[in-house]
Amino acid sequence: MLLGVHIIVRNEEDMLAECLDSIRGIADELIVVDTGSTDETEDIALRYGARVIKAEWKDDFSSARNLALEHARTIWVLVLDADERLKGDAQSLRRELRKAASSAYRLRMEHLLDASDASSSTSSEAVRLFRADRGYCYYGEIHEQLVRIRETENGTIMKDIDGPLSAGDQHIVHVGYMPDVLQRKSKAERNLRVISRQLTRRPNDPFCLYNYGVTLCQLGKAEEAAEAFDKALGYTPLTAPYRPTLVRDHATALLALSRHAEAAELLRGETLRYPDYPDLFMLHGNSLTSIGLLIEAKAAYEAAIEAGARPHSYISENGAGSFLAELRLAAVLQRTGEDEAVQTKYEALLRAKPRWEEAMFAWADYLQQQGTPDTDIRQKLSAFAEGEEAEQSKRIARVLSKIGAYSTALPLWREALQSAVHEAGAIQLSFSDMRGFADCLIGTGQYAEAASHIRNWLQGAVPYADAEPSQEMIKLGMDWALCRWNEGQRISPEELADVLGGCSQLAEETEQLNVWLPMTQEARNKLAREQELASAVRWLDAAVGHGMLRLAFKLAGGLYGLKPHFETLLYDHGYVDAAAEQMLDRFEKEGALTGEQSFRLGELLYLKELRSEALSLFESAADEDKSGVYAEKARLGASAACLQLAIDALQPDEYSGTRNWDGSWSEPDRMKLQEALQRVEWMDWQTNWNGRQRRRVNGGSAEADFLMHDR
Amino acid sequence: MADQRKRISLCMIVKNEEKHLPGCLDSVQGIADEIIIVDTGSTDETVAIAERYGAVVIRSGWEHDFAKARNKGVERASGEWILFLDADEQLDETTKPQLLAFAGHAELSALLLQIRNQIGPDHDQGSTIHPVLRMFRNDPAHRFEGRIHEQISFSILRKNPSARFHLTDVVIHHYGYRTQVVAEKNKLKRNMELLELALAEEPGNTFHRYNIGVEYLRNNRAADALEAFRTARRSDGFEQLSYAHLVLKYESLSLQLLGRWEEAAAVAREGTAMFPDYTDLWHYIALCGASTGRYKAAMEAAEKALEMGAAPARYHTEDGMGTFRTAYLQGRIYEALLDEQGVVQAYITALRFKPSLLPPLFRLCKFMRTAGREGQLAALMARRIACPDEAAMLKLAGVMVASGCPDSAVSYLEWQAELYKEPALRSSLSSHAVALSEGDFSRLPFSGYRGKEEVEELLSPAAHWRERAEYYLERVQQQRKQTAEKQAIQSIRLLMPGFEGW
Repeated sequence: MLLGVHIIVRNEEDMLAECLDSIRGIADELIVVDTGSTDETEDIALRYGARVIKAEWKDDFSSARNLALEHARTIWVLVLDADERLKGDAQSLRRELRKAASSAYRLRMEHLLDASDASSSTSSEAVRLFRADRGYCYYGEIHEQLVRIRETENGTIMKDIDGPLSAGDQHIVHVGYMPDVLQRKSKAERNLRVISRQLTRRPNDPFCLYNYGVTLCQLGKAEEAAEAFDKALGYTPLTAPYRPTLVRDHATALLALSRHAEAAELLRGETLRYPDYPDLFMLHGNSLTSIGLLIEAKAAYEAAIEAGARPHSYISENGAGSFLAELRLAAVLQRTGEDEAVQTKYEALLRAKPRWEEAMFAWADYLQQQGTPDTDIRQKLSAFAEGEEAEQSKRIARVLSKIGAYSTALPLWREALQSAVHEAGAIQLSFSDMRGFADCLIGTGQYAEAASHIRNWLQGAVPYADAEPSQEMIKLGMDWALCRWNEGQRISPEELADVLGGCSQLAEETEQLNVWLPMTQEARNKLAREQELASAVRWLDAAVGHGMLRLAFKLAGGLYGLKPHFETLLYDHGYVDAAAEQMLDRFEKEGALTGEQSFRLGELLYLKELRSEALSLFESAADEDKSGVYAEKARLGASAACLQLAIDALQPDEYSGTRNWDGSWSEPDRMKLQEALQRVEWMDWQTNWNGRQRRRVNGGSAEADFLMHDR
Repeated sequence: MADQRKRISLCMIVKNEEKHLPGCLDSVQGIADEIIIVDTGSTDETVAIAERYGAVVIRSGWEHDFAKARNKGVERASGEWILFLDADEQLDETTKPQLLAFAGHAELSALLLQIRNQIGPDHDQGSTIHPVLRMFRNDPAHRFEGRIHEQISFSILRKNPSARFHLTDVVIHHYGYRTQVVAEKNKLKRNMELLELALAEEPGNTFHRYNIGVEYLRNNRAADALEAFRTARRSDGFEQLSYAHLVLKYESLSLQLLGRWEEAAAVAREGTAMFPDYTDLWHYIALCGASTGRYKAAMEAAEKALEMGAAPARYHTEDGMGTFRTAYLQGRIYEALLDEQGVVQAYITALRFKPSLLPPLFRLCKFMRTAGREGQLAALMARRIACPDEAAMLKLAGVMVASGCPDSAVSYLEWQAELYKEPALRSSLSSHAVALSEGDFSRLPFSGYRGKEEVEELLSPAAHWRERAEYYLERVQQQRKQTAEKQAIQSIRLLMPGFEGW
């Protein structure tokens, strides 16, 4: 018999059928090793004509795989997992095997990362097709490797088996990395158990450490993962085939932890070692961007794109050497002020990937920053529209909502909602889409309608059951309550239980505020416990974010100590002038500002080009702030203000005789100072307002007027 | 002397040159047997000075035509050779005797001299060198052509296509390019007007096109210059032109001045295909690469330029291309890479090429200070930089003080005092060290620095703000933990302008 397919399984009833469908008609023999399923797995396997071998699970993948190999009656073996699907022409595979020159072949593997986005994937190659008659076997308890073991006089020699990439169009699609799948199977936890046990026996085994880190990443434990990767790197020989991927994963983990400078240092050397690995360059670009080295970041992204254009066999995230790097590059060019290049980059990206929402958002955000009217942005986005009408208009609605273009997005949402009702008879918006729609309603002042929609959604949502309510749900619940209160309505206990019942903590908080907030007219300044204060700050944040400033103002007066939070939140949500007025007001009364407030006032003055005033506020923030975060921001702000003052004070003849690198043409001080200033501004110290907040900074903040005149 | 024949006639055209003329005429003493000066309307002492030197003065109106004016003088010359100079040029004392020797060679028709365009007031401050035809056999057929940038070679070659030109080492110091002088004489404007006239007459004349490009460059009109050089490059037979390499170089330069670094690099690269041994182009490739953050490519080009050294004599080159200027550029690239060893190595190389150069010293001090490595500076300077005498050591100490590293200057001098056995030198160095440590900086070169506190008051407002900006940046740099973050701040501090001894 020519070809057998080997699969080891345990409780794979929801995965296995699809896997077996994908190999229909290809194999002469199907061997399924079941390591203790308690579900329908075995029945499914039998239905597909498999030989099922039962084995006890001993936390060892190799022994299970080798068991299958022992039972093989075919010349060739294709090894699959239940969460993998074979794609490509089956008959051509068989034809090729008949005239095969090698005894083992690698197959291309595509790992899907996101069910909703087929382009979000990484690819790799693995030896999955090999002759069963050559004495090959598996070694290693997890991430088992195919080897040949030979006993010689000098002991056991183990050799890794490798082969060329199979020439046919067959490849394996791996769906197991999709987060929901991962969670459902708690596969990562199982892996972690296996690897931990291995590590107790071999604590410094680099491959184990590496796999340990990968598994910790899948479980969202980035900190521990980074530690494992770091240790693994220390023990991994430079020639190890998995080393480049280890570097990539380590850098990814560091970036996820905002340890940008460490990632930058790691990658500075490793990009030299692996100059063909696009992912490393892209990650290097990301880390350099975060520490303000934009020129260097630009070069890194360009190198990623160059490397991506060349063939390579590294495990690579889809787009790392192309569209992802291009998008990041566009963001950098935006900050370095190369507007023409930015424009063409975005257009090219969307022409190539018209449904890519991340790119759509980045472009829309950029256009909004440039002062493009919302309707024009909508038009530009539609020009690249492709695919199903409803999906695309929902996509545009999402993007417009995110940049705060509420009145332009609203009709799109209404349309989407209408067609959803038409088609399925039920509303089919995801929670994040609901929030987008609700934001638009609230942002255009239609609180009652927003409240009634949210109420319907929350009631129609799947019962919370035992699961923790999602962040999206909690936020929607808060929005609902805020909308009601903003209209001056108190929520009845029945209604409250009905809508927020599944979310006990939120319900409790709402109940407390419901008692006084909707009706109160004056400041209560009640003393509050720390926890109460923290929850009030969250509510305050949401209220200010939605521009419900009168409500927020009342809330701020409710608890003692909320006032400074109110001021900073005003500022952070873009109500900069009102925030400044409030801060100065309190400064007059109390004679003191916190460091973070001084910093914000300083930044505002800096933006208004009052440099020496800004400087003195930055200076006091640098002295005042104890936490250190704002002290550093303030110092950078102070140096920016000083540089600006230096430029202003420069006399026309003051060139100090400095020259360009070339030494032949003079480079005026002004240019150098401006370059230094620009680089200071690239350091991440300024407040980063989003589209909605930016509108307020730029003057669209009428709702805050009452705070300005009530003094 | 038995031989009363006149060998060499100096022919000049002048107008209001009382300031420069004596220097020029002094420099030809012993070389020219006859001086013929065409005055095109001086209103100062020019004519009187010329007559004092025994010159034949021809008064003539100015007809907007250099060739015509020059030829008036040549008509009157009776020597075997015509030497022509401008009033702002002087023959170099040590090399000029060669002219007398070459004048005896019957087989030669013309001599090329090396013109050094002085940029600064002193001889060793940057200059550009290129060969020019300045001496030719007196013959009725040899006449100047061209309203501006008049040429003699065309007529010589027309008479005898195989005429021999000889390239000599005789140097002419040219002071007219010093911006100050240029401004004084309004020459820029005049040249431009003439060239525009000439181009209106002959729009297809590539030489005029090239020259107007050069004038545009000098007038900071880079966009116009670029246009002119591009037009020149498109002309037929461009590759055969003797100045083709310059067109390419200046086209790249124009783009650099416009900040279009990538295009500038591309032009320079195209140029190297035609002129692979023209160092200046490689230097430009390095400069453009550095300006766009492509440090690796920049470094490769700089290495290549240094390997090649100064361009061969047939090219017009700038002093330092392939030598100190390129090494300095390399130092700046290493700075951008924050590679301390590279920085030290490159700047020391630059100093080897040209020991009088100050900027590498200033940059070196600044780099060490911003890297937080001031403690190593004194030892580095003492070990790596050889000083022939006390003055040189004091200069070095002065640079350290002016770069804000006064403590390093003190330890440097103490170190040197211990090193030298000669008692006078030793005690002098120690006394300087003592003065420095007591805060008296007045005895050093680049004085004006009086310690950190006092210096603030002396600074211009801009410099005051700059210092404060640096103070904050330094604080941030100290606070940050990771090297990459520290370096990001350091690279900003390295951008801060300041006195660098140019």
